Amino acid sequence: MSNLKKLLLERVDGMLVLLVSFVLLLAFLFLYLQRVDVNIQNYYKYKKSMVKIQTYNQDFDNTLMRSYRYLDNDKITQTSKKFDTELLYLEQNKLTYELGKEVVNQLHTISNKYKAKTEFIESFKTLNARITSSVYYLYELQKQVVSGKYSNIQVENLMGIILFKVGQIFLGTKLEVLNIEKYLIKLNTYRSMNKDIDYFYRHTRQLLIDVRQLIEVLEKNNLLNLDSSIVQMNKLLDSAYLKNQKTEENISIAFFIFAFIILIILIKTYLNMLKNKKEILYLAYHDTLTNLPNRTKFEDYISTLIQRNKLKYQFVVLYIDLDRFKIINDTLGHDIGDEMLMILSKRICSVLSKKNMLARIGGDEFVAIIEKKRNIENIDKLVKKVSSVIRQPIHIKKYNLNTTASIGIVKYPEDGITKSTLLKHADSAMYHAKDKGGDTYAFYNKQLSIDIQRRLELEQALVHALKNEEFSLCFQPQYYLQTQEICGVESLVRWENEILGDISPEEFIPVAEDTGFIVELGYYIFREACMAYMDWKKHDVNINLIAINISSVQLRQLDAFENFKKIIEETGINAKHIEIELTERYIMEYTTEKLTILDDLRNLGCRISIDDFGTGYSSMSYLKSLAIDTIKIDKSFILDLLENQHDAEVSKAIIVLSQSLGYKVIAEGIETVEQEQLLKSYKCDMGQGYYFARPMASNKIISFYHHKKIKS
Amino acid sequence: MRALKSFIVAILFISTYLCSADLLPIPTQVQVNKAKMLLGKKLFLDPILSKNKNLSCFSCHDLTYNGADTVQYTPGIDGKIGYFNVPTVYNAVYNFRQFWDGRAKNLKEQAMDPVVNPIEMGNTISDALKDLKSSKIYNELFYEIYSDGITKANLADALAEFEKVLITPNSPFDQYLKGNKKALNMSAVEGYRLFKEKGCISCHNGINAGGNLYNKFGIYEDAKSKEYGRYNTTHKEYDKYVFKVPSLRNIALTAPYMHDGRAKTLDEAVDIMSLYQLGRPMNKENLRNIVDFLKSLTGELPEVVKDINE
Repeated sequence: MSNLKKLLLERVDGMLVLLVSFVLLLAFLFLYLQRVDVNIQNYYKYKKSMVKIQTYNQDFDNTLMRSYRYLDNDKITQTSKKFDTELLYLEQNKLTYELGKEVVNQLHTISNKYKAKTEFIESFKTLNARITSSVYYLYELQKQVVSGKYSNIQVENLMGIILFKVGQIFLGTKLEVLNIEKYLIKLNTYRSMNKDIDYFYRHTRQLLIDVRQLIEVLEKNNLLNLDSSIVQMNKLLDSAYLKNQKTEENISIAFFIFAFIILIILIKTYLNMLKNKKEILYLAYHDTLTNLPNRTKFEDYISTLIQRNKLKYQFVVLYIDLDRFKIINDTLGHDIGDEMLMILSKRICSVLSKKNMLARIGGDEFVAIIEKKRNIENIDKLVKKVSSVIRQPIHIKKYNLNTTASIGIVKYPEDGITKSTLLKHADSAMYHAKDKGGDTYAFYNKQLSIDIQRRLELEQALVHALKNEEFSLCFQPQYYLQTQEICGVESLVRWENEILGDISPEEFIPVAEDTGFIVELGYYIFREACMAYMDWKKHDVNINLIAINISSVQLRQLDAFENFKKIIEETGINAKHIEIELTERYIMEYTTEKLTILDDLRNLGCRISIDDFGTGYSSMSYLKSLAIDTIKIDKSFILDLLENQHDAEVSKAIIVLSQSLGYKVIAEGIETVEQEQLLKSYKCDMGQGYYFARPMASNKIISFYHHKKIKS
Repeated sequence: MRALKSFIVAILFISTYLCSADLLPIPTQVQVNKAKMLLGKKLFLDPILSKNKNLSCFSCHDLTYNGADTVQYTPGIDGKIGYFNVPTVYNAVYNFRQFWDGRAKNLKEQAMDPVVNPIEMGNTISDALKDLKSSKIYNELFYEIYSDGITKANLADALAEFEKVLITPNSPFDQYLKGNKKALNMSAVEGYRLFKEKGCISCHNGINAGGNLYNKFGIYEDAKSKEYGRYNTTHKEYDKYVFKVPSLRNIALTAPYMHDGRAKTLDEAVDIMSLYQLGRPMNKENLRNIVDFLKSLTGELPEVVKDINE
């Protein structure tokens, strides 16, 4: 979980960085756009100024068109001042940086041209003022001359023509065409006649000079062409503005795309994060091998179910434990085991409907929560189905594997209302099923809890039992049925605990096997038995065999053979006197490879016998290949031998078959003379039971042996 | 043929007459920043701007009378004499340029010139500003109005602002223009007509009766001026002897006349104008009428100068 948190934090940090950069970029973009907006507004201001300048220039041009007429000089002054203001505004603005050198240069051009133009206008004003006042004067002078006493028709005509021609000047006729000079030369001769004629002459001369100058000024002004400069400036302004606008637009678009990309990355990262989070959560709550929910998820789920339901509706928990899975894992390797688990999980899932959760909570432990009402009502049917799909043979590589499951069943709320009790009880029920031999199922009941309690007590007691010397051995003689001679003894373990009292091996051996204590105990028994045999020998007790029960768990120890060998050497017993008893189930659990330990023991001289024969699923052909010497018929067959025809037939068959394979046969649990007689008639080799002798302490064997010898 | 000629000439006259410029009355009110204006007034009257602390603007521009001086050449610093007759500051705001030669574009440009002129106040800008900065009152006054305090531009701005209010409205002629026909006597009315007919108005027109264009002094006769006028600024041959056409407002008070103060009386001035500018002497009667008209151009002094004592 801490890893998950760390991972998430890392992701979130990355996201934060992206998010912050995204926000910064957007802010930058926003500010940039703001700047663009300011630029646009500035541009409009410049444009407005330029439009005004253009208008003022047109006013000037209009003024200049009004030659030979009175001018509104005040208005011209005003316009000029306004022009100055606008020009100053443009010159003082940061046009250089914003719109480029060209615009500034053009502005300088306009400024210079404007300066020149103002000069022209001033000249124009001056000249025009003179010319207009002259017109009055000439008219008045002509009137005076005409009405005067020096009347001369020629002078009058000349003055009339000149005045007419001046009028034509005013109307726009060109000076060259009018040729006023010619008439002035003529008038010159009359100047001395009258002062007024002189004034007229001089005035006209001055007028002509002024008019020429005026025309010159106007021509110069035309050449100046301020208007075209202004138009050019407007164009420059527009294009510079458009250029700026365009680049700004492009940059904006680039920014936008950039921001968009970051946004996409951001979203993608976020989605990745979600996905990773999901994956992490999935990993946290699922089993990687089977993809089933794991223990955490299962416990979470069951907790929520309990919280949500509040005892209102039922559900059932199946605790499925595979039988002998450990052996498959240990012997065939984890690959095979894993594959098997995958196949089995799929099979179980296929039987359970989707509504029911299946979780893997341990190596070979599955849990199913059955919520579907129909399934709950027919829970037996469902469980049987589960069992049957598990039982189906599994083919992996070259192996043909058989496995079964023990299933514990608890019902909510009857069997428990908390998660822990439910699980504990489910586990108990499963163990109960397992105790029944596996491949079965068991419902939880209160008795199971008690059994479990007892079992726990035994486990606790076993830990110290060996140290406290609570174990002892007793021995039960075996004999030839025909001769009634003692052929061997079976060593049996006894446990007497201070608190629990006498506990039978049937009860504590499975517990010891489960806890692994059996290994230690097994060597103890083996050593004690060997020592007892050697003790007997000292007392002239010549019994051929001492049979010692060895648990299958002990045989799985890798150093088992070495340890046995060591004990044999240490006690000095001849290995040929030892008969190792194994349960039939052990034989069947083992694949041929692992049975080398039996060969090793046999090579040492030990004999091997199979205990409790007939209760398992031994196949005779399989038995044939085994390195065994003796077969012990289970006492359950002997018990009902006389009453149960079936048992008798089985016993008979076992005896015949075993002997035909070359094995000796021994019948356990003979309690009556009738049983003995019958077995005798079946040609059973040996017998063991209360009828011949009860199990007894080591020293009792000596007296018993000697007593029997004397008898025979 | 003759009838046709006369007809064309008549048409010509009518058209020019219709399009003719005219004299306009001075507005009775003007918009100013009062604080700046009052600061300008203080500066105008204060000799602090001159080098020897003896001369103020007021020394040459008598606001209590004509906004100018009554002598031909007013002595400047240390009694130095220049070559120009003092032009009036009254109605200077309506002039298109300042100074006789029009070298200053506006009042602000004009304001600092006399301060640094060696024959006027003879000071330097930096000294003037230094003196102002050492004055607590000026520091306070300037900083109240201008965020950057005492600077050349602000000094000029305050003085110009004051000069804006130096206008003389409500002259008899302005009243006549506004419709009070009794404001002028018969002679003055005839003078106004002659003023237009003789062509005076072609140069002396607009709100200031002049002061809105340049012209050459001495068109038909050599005026024998010692000053070149506008030529000093432009250095163009045709600008020799070209001066700003002066305003005729309060002309009766501003003797002597011409840029060099050569004319002692108004009659003399009109005579000179008629001969040099229009190319013909004027008869006595016309001259009397025109002088009478010119006298009607004397307006009322503004309220702001009433508290000034000589």
